[in-house]
Amino acid sequence: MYYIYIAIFGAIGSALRYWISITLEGNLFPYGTFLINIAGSFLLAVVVTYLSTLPGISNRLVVGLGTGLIGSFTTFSAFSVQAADFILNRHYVMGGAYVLISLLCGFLSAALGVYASNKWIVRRGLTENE
Amino acid sequence: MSNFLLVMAGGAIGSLCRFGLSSLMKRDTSSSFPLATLWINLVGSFGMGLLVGIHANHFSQLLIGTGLIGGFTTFSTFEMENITLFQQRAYRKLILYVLSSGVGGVGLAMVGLQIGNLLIYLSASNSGL
Repeated sequence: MYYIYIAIFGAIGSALRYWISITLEGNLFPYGTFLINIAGSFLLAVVVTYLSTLPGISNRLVVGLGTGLIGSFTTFSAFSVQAADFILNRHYVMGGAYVLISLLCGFLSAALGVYASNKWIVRRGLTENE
Repeated sequence: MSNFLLVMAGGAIGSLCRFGLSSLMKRDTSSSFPLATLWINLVGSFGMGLLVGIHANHFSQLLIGTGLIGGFTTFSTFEMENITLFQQRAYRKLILYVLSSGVGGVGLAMVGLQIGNLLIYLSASNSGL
């Protein structure tokens, strides 16, 4: 049953990534992949930390949205190849900057997702107790 | 429209492979080091490099590249695992994970691209004889 969720959500995630990348991909800097990976890191943190605690959300849906939709929406292979392409074309600074900025912003974005989720969980707890 | 269908078919298979492989590897290892995602991202980086290097046709680029390998590898899970290691104060594992993913992924993508270019060069020189 999990497999059906993963397959359907994974297909949608990849299609969204393709759509954004053909709309946004710049000539110099891979904005599309960058934005996808940073936004996805935040969203996965919210799905895992907040959405999974909501009543009425099945574990299947959490896995479908997290591992399927967002896991497939974000991508590591395109990121690696874009950085490798910079380096092989001797754009060392651009390549290094792309890797460092992606890793740092991805980490901060996921951390922000966890932080926001914890705030929302506390706020929900307070309103339920009123 | 058919472009989207190719990407979606590849993405479904890639996501299933990632889910299956990481479920298997997490069952067999008790270590907190995210080895499954590391393998997935390293293998995928090499595969994507190779595919781009051989100048695969539009059909293969969308089905295997953007769809299958793009959906197989993941950036968001990698970042969430970084956060988990950080929260566990496993800083050595965190640094090792980030370095092996970043340097390993980009390095293997470069190797894939170069091997792909070499294969194209060899096939071109063979057909020229």
